[in-house]
Amino acid sequence: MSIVSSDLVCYCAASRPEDDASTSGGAIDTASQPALTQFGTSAKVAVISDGTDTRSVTIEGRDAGGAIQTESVTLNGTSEVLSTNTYSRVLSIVLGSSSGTRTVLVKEGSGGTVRGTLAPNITGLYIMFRKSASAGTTQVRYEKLFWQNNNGSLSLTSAQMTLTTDAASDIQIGCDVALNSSASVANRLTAPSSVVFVGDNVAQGIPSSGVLAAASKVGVWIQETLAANASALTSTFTTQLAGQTV
Amino acid sequence: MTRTEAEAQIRQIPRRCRGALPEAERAKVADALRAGDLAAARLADAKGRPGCGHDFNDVVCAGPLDGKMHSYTCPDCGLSATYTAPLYVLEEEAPVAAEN
Repeated sequence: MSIVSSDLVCYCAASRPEDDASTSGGAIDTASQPALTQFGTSAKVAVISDGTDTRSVTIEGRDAGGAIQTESVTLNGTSEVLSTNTYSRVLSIVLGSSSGTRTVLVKEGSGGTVRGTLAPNITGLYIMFRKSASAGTTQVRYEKLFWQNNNGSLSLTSAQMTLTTDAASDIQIGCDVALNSSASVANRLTAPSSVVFVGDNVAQGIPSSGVLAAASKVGVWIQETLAANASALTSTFTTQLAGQTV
Repeated sequence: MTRTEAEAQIRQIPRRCRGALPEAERAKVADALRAGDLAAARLADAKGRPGCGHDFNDVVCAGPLDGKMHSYTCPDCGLSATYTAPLYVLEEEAPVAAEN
């Protein structure tokens, strides 16, 4: 059977800094995904599973005043559970344990828009550049995500990596210079060496002649540029891995 | 690493200009993102671009390899944007002696 889009999965890197001192990048973390879209307005977080499920869910976000708020709720199977706090933005959603069968939806308010999906075996959803801020001078930060080919046998050929949307126009992306790399940088203010960063106007191939073999992954460095004294923003960008399959 | 070696490494990953996304189309993408519809956003982006195909590695290799952000204009479609050059610590290329 050919590779289908659900075989190509985006994951977090193991080192996901919350400050400008910790290591950024590293190896792939196949239990976490950088797949949370931001709320349209302040709301409680609603979580709901697709079956019997009593796992804990830890929510971290900012309230309307910008203060960090953290709380834990307990899933109640297919009944929606609401957070106590109201969030203007959500930074992470982390399950207390893994499940090989259950899928958990994260919604903006009761019955609201789905902002994240914790598929089986995924325990965490994270935004990137958590707790980063502008300063008196331009701030450039670097974090990494991965795209992995989860097909059992087939290679994705002529693979292309593209920044397909960048609502705030502050993102550029660049592939690691080798596949399956666990390269990291000392902190997220340090640029990875030898990486070309491009915006949404350029499509780039991947290393290894554009072939992403079964179970292989490509690291994608994300560069965020915040102008001096930039206003607070909540934004979403998307990356796309595309290619050919037999 | 020499400049020649660095450019060869850069060209190992193909890069192509996608052409500019008109403002009206960019607004559609932004609306879709605000609605949380990532698939619609990606589709609007892809449909809105005229395509270009210029070898962007030519742009990178014509500029400094200094790890800094640079402005460029695509010589084929005229799109103006920025990119960030890769950082390489370059060695002098060895002069080749020859006796004629």
